[in-house]
Amino acid sequence: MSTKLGRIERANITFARILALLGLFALVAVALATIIDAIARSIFGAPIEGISEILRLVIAIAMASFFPTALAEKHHIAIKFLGNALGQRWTRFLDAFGAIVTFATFNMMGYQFIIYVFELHENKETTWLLGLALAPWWSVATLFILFCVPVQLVVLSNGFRDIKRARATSLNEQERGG
Amino acid sequence: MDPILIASMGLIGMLILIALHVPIGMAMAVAGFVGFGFLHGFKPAASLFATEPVGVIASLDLSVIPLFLLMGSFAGVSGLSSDIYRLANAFLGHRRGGLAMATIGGCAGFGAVCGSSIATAATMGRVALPEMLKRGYSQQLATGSIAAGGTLGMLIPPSVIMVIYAFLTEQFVITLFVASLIPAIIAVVFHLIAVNIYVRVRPDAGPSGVRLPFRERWQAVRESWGVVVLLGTVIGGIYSGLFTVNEAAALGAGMALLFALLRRKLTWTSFWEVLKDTASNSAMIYMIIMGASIFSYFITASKVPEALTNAIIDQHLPPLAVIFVLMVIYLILGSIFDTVAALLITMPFVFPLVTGLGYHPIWWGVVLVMVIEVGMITPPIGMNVFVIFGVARDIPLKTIFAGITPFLLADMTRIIVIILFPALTLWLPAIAGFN
Repeated sequence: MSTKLGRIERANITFARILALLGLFALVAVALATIIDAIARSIFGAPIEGISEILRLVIAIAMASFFPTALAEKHHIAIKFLGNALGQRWTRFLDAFGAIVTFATFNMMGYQFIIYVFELHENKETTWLLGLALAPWWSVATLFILFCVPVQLVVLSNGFRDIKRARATSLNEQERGG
Repeated sequence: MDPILIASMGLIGMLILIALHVPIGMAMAVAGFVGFGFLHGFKPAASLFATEPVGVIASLDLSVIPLFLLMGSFAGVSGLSSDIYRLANAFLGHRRGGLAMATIGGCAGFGAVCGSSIATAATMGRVALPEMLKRGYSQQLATGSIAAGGTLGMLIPPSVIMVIYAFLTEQFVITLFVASLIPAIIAVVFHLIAVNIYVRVRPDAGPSGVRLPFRERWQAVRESWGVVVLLGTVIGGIYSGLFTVNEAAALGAGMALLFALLRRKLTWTSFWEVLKDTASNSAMIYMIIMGASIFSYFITASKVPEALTNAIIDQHLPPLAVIFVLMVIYLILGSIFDTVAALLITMPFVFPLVTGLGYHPIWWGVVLVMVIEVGMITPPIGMNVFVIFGVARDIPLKTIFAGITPFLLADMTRIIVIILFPALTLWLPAIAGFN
């Protein structure tokens, strides 16, 4: 069981990293476009029209693609004083609680992003200058946000596995001691 | 229910969640959602989970964060940090305590290309610490100068935390960068003075090295052309108005990558590590900004900041006393929380209060960054101290904290000077036409 979860965890991290890599390519594209625009503007006096509208959309997708990897690798800013003070057993419980709240938050965010995309689609919202439809771009970003839900679910499952494992170890030690 | 009571409960709830190991961004988002739900209903509150994150992830202003992180990581891989250190060492290494001074200079230079205190401390720790210990420097001075020098990364532009502050308070980030220049120079000078005084009191702590002949100094200058070009392009481009911050960040990231490639320092492993770290660190910062946006929305809607400002104004306390009380609070927060977290958790309450007292938001931004940065070396936590401890496991934490003391005193003096003389911060943006 634990080996299976371990495999799922590794697959989870790999999947999240692949997504992030796609996002990084998008980020590199943003950087290149920004440089080209700067050169076109400062040397030729001809900036690329509406570039900021496209960049804004690409950046949103790139950033959304980074979240799964941060979740999969538990790369958060969290304060762990209480766990340190109470000991390892409580740390595991508190970490699991933190993972539950993160899971719930990303569920909520994913759901609200879906509503947001539907609203964009229904209202046929476009960018101001180029008239690009917003819904397809935000659909991609929403998809990446939704990927965070199963990714965080794996993290959460691992948290519970750790609690279970620690409890089993402690019971074994007690039996041996008794 | 009274909005102020709801806001107070929201704040307490957020702190409880943080204490229960909930990531800070998530804790802020949940507290903001529940609080706003009690104020205006849970349906509009739920929509904050889309509207605020959409504004954050699609922000062009914030997109400089991953680009600056990328630039800093590639600069580290390509060995630019060692170049800066060698350059500073060539000119200062022969003095008593010269290597510690070179470390401060190296931290200032690398801080300018990386924008992060922790990254500066970690990178310079690997570069400068073995060198200082080899030359017989005391462990206290060696570790103290790196941990303290590392904090300069946050103050010297371009700085990630300033980008976040500018975004959240709707200030022009270049004005903030320009405003932080003089305080940054003062910070470097005060740290150098601290080293000087330290080695005068304890001459054995930092023995002087050999004075390099002019030819070798010139060689160090020539070898560090990469840093000069990178800094010149990024900082020079921003200040001269040739590039926007986004353009400078994009160009800086591209140039740092190019240096790493041309110097054959980039392996597939290091390239992958840089990309992975950039994605992960950017997401971590963005998550906390998204949470802070939701929490700020709730706090602003509760009208607590106005009530708090009015209550403090009604007390007829001298504004300067309020600022000093805030400083003490931030020093404590900075020593416990991550810098971004300390800034974002307090922003909805403190920013309106400080501007309500008549202080300039740009001045406050610089002061705030300086104080939080000092918190990074303040006991009992002091993130930079732990970074150095991670690099040099055999040096006890007690020794590192003892090494910090002269720099901490220098920093406190500097903060008091900057608070008492706001012109040191606001003069340069005014004459450069950035106000």
